[in-house]
Amino acid sequence: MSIRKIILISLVVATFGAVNLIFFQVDLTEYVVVTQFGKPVRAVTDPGLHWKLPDPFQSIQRFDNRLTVFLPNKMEFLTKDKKNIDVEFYPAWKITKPVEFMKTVKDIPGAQARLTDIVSSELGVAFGKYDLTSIVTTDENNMKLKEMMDNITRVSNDKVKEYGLSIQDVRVKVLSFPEKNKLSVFQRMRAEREKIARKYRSEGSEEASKIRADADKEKTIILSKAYETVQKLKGEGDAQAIRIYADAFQKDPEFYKFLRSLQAYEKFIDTKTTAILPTDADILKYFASPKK
Amino acid sequence: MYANRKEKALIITIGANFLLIALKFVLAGMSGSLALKAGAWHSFSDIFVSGLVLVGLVLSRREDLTLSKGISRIENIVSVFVSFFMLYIGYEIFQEVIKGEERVLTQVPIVITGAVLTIVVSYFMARYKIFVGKETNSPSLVADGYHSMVDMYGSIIVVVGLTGYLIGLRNMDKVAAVIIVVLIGLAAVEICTSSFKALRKGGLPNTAHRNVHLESVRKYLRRLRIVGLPLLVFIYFATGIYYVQWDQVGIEKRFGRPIETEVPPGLHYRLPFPMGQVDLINTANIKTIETSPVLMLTGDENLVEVNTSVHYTVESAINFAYQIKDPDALVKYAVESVTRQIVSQVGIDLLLTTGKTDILEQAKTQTQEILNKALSGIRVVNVQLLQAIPPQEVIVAFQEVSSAWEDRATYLNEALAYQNEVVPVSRGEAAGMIAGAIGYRDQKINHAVGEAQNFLNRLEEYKKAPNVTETRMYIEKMEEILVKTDKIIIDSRINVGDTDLWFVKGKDAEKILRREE
Repeated sequence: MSIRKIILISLVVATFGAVNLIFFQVDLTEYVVVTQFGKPVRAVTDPGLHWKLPDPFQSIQRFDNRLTVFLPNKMEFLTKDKKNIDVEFYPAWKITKPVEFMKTVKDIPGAQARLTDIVSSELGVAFGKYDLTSIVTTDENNMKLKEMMDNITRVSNDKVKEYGLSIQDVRVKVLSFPEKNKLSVFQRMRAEREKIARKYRSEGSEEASKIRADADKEKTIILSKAYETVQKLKGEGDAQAIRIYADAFQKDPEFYKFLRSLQAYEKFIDTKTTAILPTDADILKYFASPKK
Repeated sequence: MYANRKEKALIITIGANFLLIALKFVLAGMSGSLALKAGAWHSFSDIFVSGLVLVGLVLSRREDLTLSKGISRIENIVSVFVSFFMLYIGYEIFQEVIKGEERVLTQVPIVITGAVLTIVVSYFMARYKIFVGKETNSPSLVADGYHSMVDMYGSIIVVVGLTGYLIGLRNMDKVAAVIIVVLIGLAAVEICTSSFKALRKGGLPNTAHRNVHLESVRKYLRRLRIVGLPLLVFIYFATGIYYVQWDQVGIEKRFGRPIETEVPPGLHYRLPFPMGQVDLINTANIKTIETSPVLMLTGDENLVEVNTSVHYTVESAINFAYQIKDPDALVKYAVESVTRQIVSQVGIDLLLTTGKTDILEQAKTQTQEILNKALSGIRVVNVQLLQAIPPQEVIVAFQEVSSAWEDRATYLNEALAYQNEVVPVSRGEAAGMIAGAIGYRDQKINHAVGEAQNFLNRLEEYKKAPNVTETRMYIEKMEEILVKTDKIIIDSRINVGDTDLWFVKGKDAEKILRREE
């Protein structure tokens, strides 16, 4: 290998190294802090190609500038009406001032620790000001959680500014009773359900009885109406018969009496009857002696 | 005597090399360093070369040429297989390197110390072999010494990589691993080509050149040099060609700054790395995020286990790619907090029964609001309630409520059935009664009409001869009646007023009469 070749190769390597040590790219999703002997000197927030003094005089550190969410551990808070609640919340945050960020919290875990501290203490204060029924309620006018969280977001955002951070939103992901309180809640839920079950059954019986009584009533009405009609009809028939008979028999009541009597005799005098007839009875007029 | 000394040197170094490999594997296991793992395999190639030299030396001492020919043939075939095996190992390690996950190495300082020790051992082994080779005039032993030298360089690269990792250059270990993989590959190619040559010509593979790694490659490089440089430049610029799939949107960046935010599907060109980059965002797919079941507090302070799934799609590729760090987590947390918020405003009964559709509509709107606020570029397609059930501990009570509801329905149905039976039956009965009455009335009237007519007819005839008719009718009737009766006819001269008449009647009459007699 000739000297010239060696020089040429070293030159290429040196240029390449220098380019790498001086120029750096900044992506849209990141901020870069240029440090001089470890001390941050400036922030680069524009994406594109930038330059600095070569290492080891100046070096760079990259920070993601996108909005990110993170989930601190579940915490227990006390409401104004002294009820324990388990809360899981998350802040949506991002780095806004990388130099401040680097100077104060250094890295993501540091930032998360700070965010957790600040937001959870705000939450603690806020929950202490509200009853549970203002956070969990079916009454829309009583619901204060949104107002409360907006306030917490605002206050926390102010407080994290000095760390080069911004909080865009703080939201409650889980809000429940702590394990130890759950048993009594379940007890209450069971009792409530039993109450409802009993109500359904007795309502059912009530309704059913009403329906039955109604049916019986209807039955009675129908039958009595029918009885009324029956009586009217019968009366009508009887009345007409009476009139018809009367009209006819009126024509000769004596004859009717005679006929009817004969008919009656026939009916009531049967084989068991013993007739004692004197010989001067009309029918036996000719029995004792012929024509006088 | 020379031969024995050479063989002794080889056997000692092979033994030392085994220990070295063992040490390297232990260190690789301790730290998880890929470079160390690759280094261990490279040392293995070194042992193999030493073994070949040893066999060659032993065979060269033998008088029996036919036997040694046979052994050398087997040797050559084994060499080919070993070289393929090494190529495969190199490929495996390379795969691990490009898998891309950041590797976290442990116990780095101790491992570095160990790796430095391997450098020292390799160095002395190499020196020893070269020294003995020169003393005994054995070119193959000298060459083997240089192989060990290369192994030492490999160890140096490992140490550099690990040190780089220690000071924060996280990828240095991987870069070191790639370099060593290249060394393994070159050694494998070399062993393979010389074994083939030896198979053609007979004898053992020629390992007696200084650079086991590059001897054959160098020849090709010479030819390549003429076309090589322009070709390399061309290939470099050709890497700028990229393809946007039909379901993607490309975002082209130059030095990290976006210059084209909506590259349509098709073939495109950007400047090659590191000047230009492109991010491809899938905008057609609908992604599904599912939350895990969690107990939520309802508006009436009951606990309900709820989990949801949300379908989303990318609406704005640039926002999606650059505004938020972890879209899936954001969507998941957002939908979970929204669901919780809504659940905390409804009663448990509404939630478990008819309120679901309404809740989902609200959840979709509110989740979208959060995602819009975050400039996420995400559009929520829909939110589904996978389950909303009472917790296990109280589920029996809830089932009891539903069976009570069923009971209620049963009671009502039974009563309705009763009603449906009783009313029509009584209507029927009433109709029967009325029909009967109508019959009665008509019968009465008809009888009356008939009887009246009968009377009138008879009266008419009677009037024509009243006395005779009356007498006839009277006597006829009397005849008819009296024929059936017992009759006692008493003379009118007997004064009935003074006379006692005894009648025996009824069922005892016969008896009494018989006794009288």
